[in-house]
Amino acid sequence: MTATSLIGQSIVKPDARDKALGRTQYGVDLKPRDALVAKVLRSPHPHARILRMDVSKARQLPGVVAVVTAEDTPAVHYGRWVHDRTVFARDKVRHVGEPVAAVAAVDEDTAEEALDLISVEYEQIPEVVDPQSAMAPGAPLVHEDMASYGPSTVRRGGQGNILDQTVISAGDVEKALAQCDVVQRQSYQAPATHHGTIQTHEAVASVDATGKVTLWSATKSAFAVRQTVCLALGLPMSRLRLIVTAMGGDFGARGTAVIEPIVVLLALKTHRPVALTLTRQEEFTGTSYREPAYMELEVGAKKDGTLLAVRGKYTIDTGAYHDSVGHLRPNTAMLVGPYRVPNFHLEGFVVYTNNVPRGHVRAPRAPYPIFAIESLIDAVADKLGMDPVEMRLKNAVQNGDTVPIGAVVEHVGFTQTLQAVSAHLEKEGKPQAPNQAWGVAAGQWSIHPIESGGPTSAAYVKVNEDGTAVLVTGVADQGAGQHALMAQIVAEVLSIPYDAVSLVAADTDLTPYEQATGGSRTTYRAGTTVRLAAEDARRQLISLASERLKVAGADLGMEGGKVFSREAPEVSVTLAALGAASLGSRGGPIMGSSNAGRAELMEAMAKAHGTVDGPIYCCHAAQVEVDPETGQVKVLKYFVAQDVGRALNPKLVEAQIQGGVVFGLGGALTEAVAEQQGHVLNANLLDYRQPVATSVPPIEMTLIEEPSQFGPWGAKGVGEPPTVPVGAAIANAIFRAVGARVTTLPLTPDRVVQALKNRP
Amino acid sequence: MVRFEYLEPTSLGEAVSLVDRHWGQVRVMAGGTDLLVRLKQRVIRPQYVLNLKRVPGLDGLTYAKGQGLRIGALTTIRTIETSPVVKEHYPVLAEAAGMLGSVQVRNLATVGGNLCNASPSAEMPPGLLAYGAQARIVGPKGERTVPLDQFFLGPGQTCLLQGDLLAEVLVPESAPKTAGVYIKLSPRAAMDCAVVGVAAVVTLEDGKCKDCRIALGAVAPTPLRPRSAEDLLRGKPLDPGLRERAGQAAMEEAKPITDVRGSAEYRKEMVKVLTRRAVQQAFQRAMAS
Amino acid sequence: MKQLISLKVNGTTHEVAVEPYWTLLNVIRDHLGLTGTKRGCDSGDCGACTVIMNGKPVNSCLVLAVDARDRDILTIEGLAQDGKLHPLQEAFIEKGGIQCGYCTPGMIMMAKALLDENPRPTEAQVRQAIAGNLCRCTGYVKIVEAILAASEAMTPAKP
Repeated sequence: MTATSLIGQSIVKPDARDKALGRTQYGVDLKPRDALVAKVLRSPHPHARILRMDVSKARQLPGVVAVVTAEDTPAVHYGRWVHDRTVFARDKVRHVGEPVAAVAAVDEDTAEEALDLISVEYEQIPEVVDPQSAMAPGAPLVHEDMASYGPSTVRRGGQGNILDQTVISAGDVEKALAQCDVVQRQSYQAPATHHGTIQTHEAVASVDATGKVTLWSATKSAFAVRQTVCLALGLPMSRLRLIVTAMGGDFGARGTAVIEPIVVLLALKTHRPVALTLTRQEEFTGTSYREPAYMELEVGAKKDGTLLAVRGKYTIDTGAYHDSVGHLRPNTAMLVGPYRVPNFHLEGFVVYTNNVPRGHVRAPRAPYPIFAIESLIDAVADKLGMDPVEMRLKNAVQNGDTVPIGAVVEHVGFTQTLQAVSAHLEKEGKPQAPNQAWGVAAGQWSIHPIESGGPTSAAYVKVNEDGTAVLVTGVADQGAGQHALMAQIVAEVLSIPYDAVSLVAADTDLTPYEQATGGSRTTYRAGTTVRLAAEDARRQLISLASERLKVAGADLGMEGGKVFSREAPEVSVTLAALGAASLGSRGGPIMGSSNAGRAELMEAMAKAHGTVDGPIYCCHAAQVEVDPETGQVKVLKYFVAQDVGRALNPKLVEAQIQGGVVFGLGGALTEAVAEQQGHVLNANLLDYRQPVATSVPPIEMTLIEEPSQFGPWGAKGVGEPPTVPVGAAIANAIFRAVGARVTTLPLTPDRVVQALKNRP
Repeated sequence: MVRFEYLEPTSLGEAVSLVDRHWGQVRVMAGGTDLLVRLKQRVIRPQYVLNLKRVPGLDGLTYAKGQGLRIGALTTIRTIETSPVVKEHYPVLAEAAGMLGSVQVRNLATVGGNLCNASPSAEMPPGLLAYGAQARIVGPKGERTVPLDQFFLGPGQTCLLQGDLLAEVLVPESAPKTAGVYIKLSPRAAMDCAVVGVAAVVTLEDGKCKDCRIALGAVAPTPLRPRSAEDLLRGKPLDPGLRERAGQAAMEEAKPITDVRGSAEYRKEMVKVLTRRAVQQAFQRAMAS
Repeated sequence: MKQLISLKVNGTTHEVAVEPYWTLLNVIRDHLGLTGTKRGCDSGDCGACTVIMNGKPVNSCLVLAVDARDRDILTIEGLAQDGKLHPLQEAFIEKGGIQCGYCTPGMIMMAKALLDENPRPTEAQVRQAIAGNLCRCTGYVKIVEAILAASEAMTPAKP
């Protein structure tokens, strides 16, 4: 790397300026003036048969252009993991908020009135709203024909409402528990939570004279959504172009087709542009939640703090449709936390209910099992009279360990995060005020073994005739600065200024495939392919320069917009000259492709197959003050130590961690969807309490840089881990402050008061 | 939003006669922060919406020494929050106003709307009740003044009759050595409805409680004056044991429900804790005054 | 029945025919094409639609357009002057106070209203002022930093 390296520099995101000016166009901001407005009629019942539906009055209302129902769609099922849903309910509705029909009208008021005119006759049938009842024999079935749903990879439950189940075990838990000096047992519970993006789901579709549909949607998974819409509506992919618009937050909400099939269907029906914006209430019942979880856990340790055994059960209520857990094993494995545990027996269940569907929310599936294990480890440490960080250090996962999913982890920076917390707590000292204390909890994320299939991501880098470059990538930008980072990588590889790189992104007709901009894997995975494409462009530049300068490629350097001879730097050619010359050259215009270095990358990955290259570990510490009479918890200070591999843009990393912690604070203290018999009682942003500016304590952090093998410059993911341990860190701090253990999230004042009463 | 016909009277008399004529089909809009949300959600579908904002003389604060404070029904919550006069003479009202919603909402929401919605958890009633406020009501048959503790009949229900409008809230002058406090318990640090709200105003004389009013929000179908607690305190020195007993008495009067904001059991318990704290803080402030 | 009203937005007076049940938010977005003001909840709980009306920040989703007639309305589009960004806009960009950007216009308008009233707010006052503006990305940290930095830039502390 050169002295002018961009890696590690906090470059300002280029999208920020338009956003500050209010010029950025999100969703329906760019709808044509003549666009029709769509509205969706949704089920008012958690479980009911549709006996009759009459849309004729709605169709006759002046200003209504189309009304569509299940009859207007092919009889196909689709879904993120399991094909369990349809565009509109057929025969029966399975949750409050399920789409039943949709209208397109000249304006919003007319569309709303048209919904009033659709009459649907329902026959309510008994609903099942918690997994325990849903698993009981004879429970009402949410999906009678589950066995016919493809693909079967996720569907391993097979009976009643159990969609999926798994068992992971090692050693002999019974025997090990018998040998333990301390065994602690506890049940934990956590609710549905809302992603809480400030922009609701919005999409616009338009059809041209040839029947080609253009769909503008704020999704992070353009290609997956295209695939779903095409499947749901029977369209060839060549007939649908999806262009990703600016996104008003994601946090898991935008990884799957939600409203897109409806908008496209209405555009096809009307041959007019159609725009749809969900209301906040629909956002609550018509999208998806973090899945409520029930955890039973038993942990045994020796007197010296060595963990010997974990027994656990993890049951997820996935709601009426399963957008949630794709891979149950790694999620169930989270129950042992980031620790070496020789004996464990873990069971996991995914169960259908008549609740609003569950899907991805920031760090999907991680926070709840981690809440359980990190709370219980803390209880064990307390029982042993051991310092909680010391206890974790003693059992921390290390390089070369085999984790419960059976993979070997490498490049583990966990111990360093624990040490950083230890040092911070020492510096801070014990709070002297009454009812105040620090609590700690660790977290983990992205414990995915390397797949020999390589990254499902690709990129191109084109060099212009003036030496600037264009990156073509499928990566979307949720606002975390993904585009800025991808451009930074290209600029670094080509040794050109950051602002000499522009971007074409996330357009299914123009840009190469990208699986999704999510999972904290964009920098790691897409960044790697962007780097490959940039390196290919660099190779092509060097090769052309070598021809022109008559200097062997190996003896050429590239810097400051020039390729030069290392021996005689005055022998040089500008990238501009090379870009221009390439147009007529034998090799053609310079267009780097990530396919070029892909074979070697995949070979290296095949070699590393099964190891976890970019595991992310972190440890948090929270200082709280508890009002023992009201149960109110105030977070006074917060500290994070996280292994980020390499902070390519430290300011963006910092921003992700701050945002992630505050997201976690909401889940820890105030956020829960109030569900009652399948109905949502707080479908608004007043009673669903996301953190506000006054909720936030000062947040300090230490970044650990334990480089990964494959991430660009050693980078690992960043965005999701900071959300993971917050609940446990605060619960543990509450315990240290007032001696009460709250085992249900969120840690509300009434639960704290109750736990205080239950103190032994 | 529900389609409605819009009425915009320019005098109080016109407003009263329009409300009277369209009674049952008209909704009166003051700040609109609550009404418009319900119209958008189509949970109410009135034929008419009558906007009071262009009626002159309905907004504004006037204070006269010895007579007290008059708050026009259309006075915004933000005006009350930031008014130097209110801060000086009726600080509980300014405190409570500052806890309602956001600055943006407070710039629109009015004291009249806050009272007439008659939400059990509304922010302004406890403080006004604790100061002994009255409502001046104007209707087709003239005007009348009603003590605020007779104004609320149930959730969403007030003593307003056909054609009546709330014109003004009158807050009497406080006796010397009077001070109060509003304590609001809510899970979120701001932008939240009260799980329990308690206002207490005490007047001291010779170190004893000469007079005292306590008002509770969100723990009964209407804002509530726990008279048994007040009676306990009146004429006595406010020692800790008495404050505790007052809390207990207030708790026994509270009739909360369980809803998404809190359980009945927790609310009841908090009435005890917060009443005790409110009396204590009011006492301390009065001692210092 | 539509009413012809004049709306003064960012210094320009527009004659618009509006239904009485249209909100100010809808009219400035759909009829004046000023889409910088955002709709997040449509019920006054998120602050994304904040505009400044007669000098006061309000949720434009809670104002009827007819009721906004003859009032002076400032939206995010009216903040930059002759291509020069407002110090708040500069600070939000520089300090990293913008991620997805959806809350940004409302947040900046609220911050402007704050600084107009109180040019040197404390951190706590900043947090209280923007408590009605939800942001899900930043955790508010860099937003608060940006507002304090803008305050400093606009009204330097007395030596």
